[in-house]
This record gives sequence, structure tokens and C-alpha cells, in this order.
Amino acid sequence: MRDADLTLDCASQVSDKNPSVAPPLKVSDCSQITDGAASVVLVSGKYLDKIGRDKNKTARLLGYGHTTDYLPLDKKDAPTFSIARKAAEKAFRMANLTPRDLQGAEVHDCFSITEIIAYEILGLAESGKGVELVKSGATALPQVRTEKFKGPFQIPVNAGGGLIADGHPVGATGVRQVFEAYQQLTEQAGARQIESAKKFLTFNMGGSLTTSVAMVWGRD
Amino acid sequence: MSESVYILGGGRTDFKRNLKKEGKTIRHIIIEAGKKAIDDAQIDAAEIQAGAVGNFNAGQFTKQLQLGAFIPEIDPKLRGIPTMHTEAACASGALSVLLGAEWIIGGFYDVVLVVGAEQQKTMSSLDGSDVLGELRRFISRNTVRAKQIWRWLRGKITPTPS
Repeated sequence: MRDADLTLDCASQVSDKNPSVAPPLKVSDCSQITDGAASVVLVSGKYLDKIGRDKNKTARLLGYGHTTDYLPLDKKDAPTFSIARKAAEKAFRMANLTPRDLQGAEVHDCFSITEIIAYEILGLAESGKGVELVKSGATALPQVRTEKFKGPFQIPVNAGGGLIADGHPVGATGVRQVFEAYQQLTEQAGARQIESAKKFLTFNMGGSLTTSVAMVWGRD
Repeated sequence: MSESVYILGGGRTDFKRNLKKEGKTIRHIIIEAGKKAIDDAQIDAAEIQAGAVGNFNAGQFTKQLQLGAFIPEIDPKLRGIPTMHTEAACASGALSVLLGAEWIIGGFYDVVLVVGAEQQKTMSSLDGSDVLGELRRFISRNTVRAKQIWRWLRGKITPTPS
């Protein structure tokens, strides 16, 4: 988690410190030009058995979906994005889980609106209700909430700040999300740890939802 | 899934860094992140059977796109293993994870190293806008506005390391 001097007030309005980029998006709504790398070692269950490693200290891929849509935005069915939705639906179906079974998620937020659209694509919120989900506080990390959460369902999203706050080294981002899933599921996430995280979603997309990859990870 | 896929370890670099100012390139962070994952997994590098590298545009940002070539530099024991590079714009990283996972599910390998990397702070705002704007040119007819967005991001919010 980054130390940031950006306040909610500053992020909410256009100012000299936070100029408009393309209305209504301001600089604070956009991910940054970044240098970085992330990595994971993936192994088979057979290999884990062979080396006798405790499966509780690992994260398992429970399901995934991967789809490709047309590249031009005007050929996609915005804001439904049915092809991206298929990736999410396939991941949940393979994992035999629903969004309500998750304790946390890493979602592709290259821009602030992208994260809200992603909530709806992934089924964390109904269509058109992504903003309500944010406002309810359901996606905040419980330990940094200022008010008690009263809603029926909470799912901390982008506990480390996501692409906007942590950075978006393009080719590293999808791997960084999966590394985050591993750290959360094995309780190695430190200050941004989601308590008792057992099922975790990662959603990485490229080319404004041209390529969509949803993965559901779990702790055995 | 015919074979289960587990994450045994991982690593990352601090995304605040500016590699050019450190005198480093994407090669250094692929090696650095690769070593971190192997250390974290607590296995001998000789156990790794294949490598996948996710990257969007090192060809233009750094003029080098054969990124699998840096896998053997992570550890001499990796010299000789098969490697591949995946690209799908901002989803390039997830595709490298999927490539590794599908190798395991398909029964090809049991231990795979996956590294995603990007070095973007290599060029002027204008040239950087061109690299990122390339994607936008195919997506949006409003290319002037799109180019302006990337120029802003490059010029305004890239942290200036001391």
C-alpha cells in the first residue's frame, strides 16, 4: 500500500493539482506510466505431492475464462460488454462459485470508470449499479473504513491500490494481480491483508475489453 | 481441470522505480523478479521446466522483444528450457499466467516460471504517447484527444525520483 497525499476532496474535483485529462476523468482517475515486473512459480498438484509441500501455503487455480472481442470500441456492446462477461461467467462456472463466494478481488482499473464497469461485468454489482457498490463501502478494505459497514455483501477490491495507486507496468499488471491473490490467500499481504480470504478473483483486460481474463483462486 | 495448478511463490519490483535513471533496462527487472519468485517458492532453479514472459510493447519502448532470452539469465540452470512471450495489450500479463497454467493442465510441464514486465519510462512524452496511442488509434476515431491523454499522463503524473 502506498503512502499518498491525495485526499478524497482533491480526487473529487478538478484543480491545479488534479487537472482534467478528458472530462470527466481527472489525473487522479488514471493509472500511471510505470516501470515494473512481477512473477509467479506455477506448479502441478502432482509436483506439490512429490515435494511434500503444505497446500495451505499455496493458492490453487479454481477456474478461469478468457475471451476476445473486436478491437474498436464502437463494435463492442458498451456498457454491457457481453464478451468480457463470458470470461467472468466461465471462470465462475469452472470454479463452481458465484461472486458472493469471494472474499476479495484484484480488478483492472486503468481508469476509475474501468473498475466500476468491471464490477458489473464480473457480477459483483448488477448492471448500472457499480457506482452504488462503491458508495456502499462494500469494496473498501475493512481496516481502513471510517464507518461501520452495514451492507449485505462486502468484497474488498484492489487492497493495494490497483493500477491507479500502485502502478500499471502494462505487461506486469496481470501477473502482479495473481501474485497479490497468492499473497492474500496465504496471509502474506501485511497491512492490506483481507482477513480470512479463501476465494479470490483476478480480472485483467487489454485493449478496452478486447482481451478479458478472469481467474478464480482459492486456498485448499 | 485434468491437473491442478498451484502458485508456489512469487515476487515483484517496486512500481515507483524509474529504471532509466537507475541505468537499468527491462532485462534487469525480468531477472530480478524471476529470482524473487524462485527464492519465494523455495525450490532449486533446476526444477523449473519452462518459462513464460508477459509484455505489451518492449519492442518499441526498449527495442528488444525477445524477452524469453532473459529467462536463462535469472539462473544458469534455466539455460536450455523452452520459453514463450505473450502479448494482448494490458492483458499480456494474465496471458502469461494462463500460458503457464495451461501447460500444467495439459500435462506438458509440472513447474513453470511466469514473469510479466514493462519498462515505459524510456522516451519523451511525445514518443511515449505514440507507443500507447497506437492502440487507441485502432479503437477511437478521436485520435487527437487520445494522444493528448497519454501526453498528460506521461507529463503530469510520472513521479520524478530524486
